[in-house]
Amino acid sequence: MFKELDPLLHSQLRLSIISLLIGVKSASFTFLSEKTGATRGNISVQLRKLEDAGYIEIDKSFQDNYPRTTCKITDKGVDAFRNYVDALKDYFGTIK
Amino acid sequence: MEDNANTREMNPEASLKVIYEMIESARSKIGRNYFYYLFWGYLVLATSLLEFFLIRIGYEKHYMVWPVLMLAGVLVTIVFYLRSAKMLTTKTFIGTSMGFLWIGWAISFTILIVFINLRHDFGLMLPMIMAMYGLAIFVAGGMVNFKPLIFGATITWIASVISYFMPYQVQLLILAGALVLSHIIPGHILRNLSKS
Repeated sequence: MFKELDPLLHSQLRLSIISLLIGVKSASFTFLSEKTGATRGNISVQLRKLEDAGYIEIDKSFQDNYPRTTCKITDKGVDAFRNYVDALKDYFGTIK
Repeated sequence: MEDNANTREMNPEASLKVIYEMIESARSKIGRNYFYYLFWGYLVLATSLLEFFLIRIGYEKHYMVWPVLMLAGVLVTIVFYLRSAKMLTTKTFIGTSMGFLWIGWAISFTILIVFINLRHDFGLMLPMIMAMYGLAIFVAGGMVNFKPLIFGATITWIASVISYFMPYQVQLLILAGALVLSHIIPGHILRNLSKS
């Protein structure tokens, strides 16, 4: 019996977003949209879910009079991602 | 990725694939900053050769090429940075560290140049500049594990030590050679990497 996978991260788009954010300091909404290929509406919904869980922080600002949304992963999000990867390792029988 | 992707069933293999692909696509692109290496490499190379030429023809204020061209270089760098920063969609940890490294380097460099000028010890100027270049390039190359920069830093340190024992005109030529190996060649390699 292996560890249960975090249901919040066990979705392709949310896992993609967290995996992108884990490697950078912050990323724009446009970057996330381009890399995942998902629609802006769908990304917005998933970002809100991740933000509600405390996994990411969303910052809304203006640059040259255009709205700019920036996201970054929180410590809680990093822990959740680590636990998710640990659960995967567990599944594949990798011994830490 | 389709809109129903968030509800799609994933097995652990698919999860691992998603994680790998996304982390890979967000990785810092090492070639992104080739402009700075090429621009400063060619600018300082041109400045040192120009001063060498001015000394040879007997122009008294040959040293004026440095403040004029370096100030122009700083202005171009600031404009380029501000323009490219607007287009960036991510902030990476390496990018932030590089920023701190080069800003810190520029401050230390300015302090050093002021002290050398106050003491009128100009024979020490170029060896010190090269020693400082070596440090910054070594750290920058180490951060992204880019061997041409680490090699360039080593060459620059050796050039710094040799030039200490040489007259000023020879120091200028040593600096020019060190720049080709530490900035210009790595800069062109980075440029090719960024396009491949």
